[in-house]
Amino acid sequence: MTMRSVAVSDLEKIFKSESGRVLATLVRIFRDLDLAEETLQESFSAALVTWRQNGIPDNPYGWLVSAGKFKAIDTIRRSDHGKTLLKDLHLHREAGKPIDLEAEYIEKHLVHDDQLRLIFLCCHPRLSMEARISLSLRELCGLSTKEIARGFLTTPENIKKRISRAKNLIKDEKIPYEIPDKDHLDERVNTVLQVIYLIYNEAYSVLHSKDQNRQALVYQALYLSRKLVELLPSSETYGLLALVLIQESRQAARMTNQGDIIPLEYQDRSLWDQKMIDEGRGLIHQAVMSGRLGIYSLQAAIASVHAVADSTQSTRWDLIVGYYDLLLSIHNSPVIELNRAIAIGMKDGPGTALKILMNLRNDPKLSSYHILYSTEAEFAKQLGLHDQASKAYQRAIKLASNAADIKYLQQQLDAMQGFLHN
Amino acid sequence: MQFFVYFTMTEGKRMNPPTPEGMAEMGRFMEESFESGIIVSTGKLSQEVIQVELAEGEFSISDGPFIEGKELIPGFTVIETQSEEEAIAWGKRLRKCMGDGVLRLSQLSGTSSKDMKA
Repeated sequence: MTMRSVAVSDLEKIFKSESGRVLATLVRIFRDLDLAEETLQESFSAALVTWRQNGIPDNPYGWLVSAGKFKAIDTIRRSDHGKTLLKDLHLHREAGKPIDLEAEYIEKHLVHDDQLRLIFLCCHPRLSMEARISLSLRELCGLSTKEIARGFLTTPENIKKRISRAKNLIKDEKIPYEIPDKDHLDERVNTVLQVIYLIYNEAYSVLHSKDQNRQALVYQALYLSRKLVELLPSSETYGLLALVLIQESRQAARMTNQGDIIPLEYQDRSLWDQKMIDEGRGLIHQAVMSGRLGIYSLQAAIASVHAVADSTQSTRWDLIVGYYDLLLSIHNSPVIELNRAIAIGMKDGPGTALKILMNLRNDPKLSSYHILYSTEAEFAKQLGLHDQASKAYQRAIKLASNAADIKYLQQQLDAMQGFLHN
Repeated sequence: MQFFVYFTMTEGKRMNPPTPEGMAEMGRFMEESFESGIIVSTGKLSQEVIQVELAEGEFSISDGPFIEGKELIPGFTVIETQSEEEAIAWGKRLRKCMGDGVLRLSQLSGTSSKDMKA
């Protein structure tokens, strides 16, 4: 180890890049999220002092884990809560192995598995979706409860409660810290992908690119998708990363200077981020090469058809309809049916689409979904059916919940009526 | 014999993904190829590259991309076949699923850690 002056910013960089791996290992060692988090903070404090004096060790991860262990064993010995933990720890230890934590835990494959275990724990299907999202952002991304609360427009107290309830449930139900077996892996990976996609959707609903909460959530969704690709490369993990990248590539073109939504059709496509699109397209190929087609890779394929088209008119709607057919064959959902109807309308004309939309009205899951009616309004308007279009716009406005959506729909309705009266 | 199979994408060139039919066929073909053992491994190649450079005894580490130009290699597949013909036939079937374009197969010959231990 060489003596050299160490800048605090260097240390922060290391803490940032190592905290996920160190935390994941500490959780495995202690089987306790709270203790692991506490310990992580303490070993960072210890590192701050020691490393500035002696330089950064060759293996920061190993150093932090063993410092954490010393600190934690101290804490464990001191507290009642700790005494129970220590007993548990002995129970979990594999029979016949000495408690040489040092050598035992610093092997690479373990670190890899630790990170996966923590991901699967945070996204466990026994937890509510809200709990999974909060816990993931807290434990996997290291966001504070304050930061999470800002992203989801709620109070830090709420998030704190959510997280502690989740932790209690993990303890009470003894939810195991493990990688699911082969038979359950796909299903469990899906719950992880769903959590990441919901985090991204929360960001996507905010139009302003410079909104800091939005930026934080996008960053974390991309971080988690990339992490998952690294730890568990598979068709759907590639697919999710591709989908997030391609959707995010349009960010700069989604809003007018006045803060209004610009629909895909009218976006300035030269503002789309070509680098993200390219990476997404490469990932889609790799997703298909990895064997199984899934909902994320197919949605990414649809997004990429838009991404490579110069305009709505020159978009290959026939491909999009085909991907929707594949999508429906593996995952039947009314929202996908609706999107397919839109694509058919673009391909075969509004009349055909309207017929399908009328059938979809009977689906209880769609009958109060504003997009069903805004779509009907668009196609009816194109056919000159202005009465039908007005009614549909009005219904869509009543059902929409997002202010930007409502404003956009109202503008469309006003523009059509203004046009008729002149 | 083993082949390193890859294709290139031109940066910013707007190409659609394989057709839905091609994609479905490709999914089946890949699954079959994994089962029969033709595919040794397949994966993504990161465009972010770490460069280790030694110049006059001093190391410098930098982050890339370093390949200038507009070609991207998004991923790779290593296949194991009995002959070159078999490899070409496999490549043809894959390219047919993907649609028009190029696929490159480069034969791998080298020493593995297994050989060294023997």
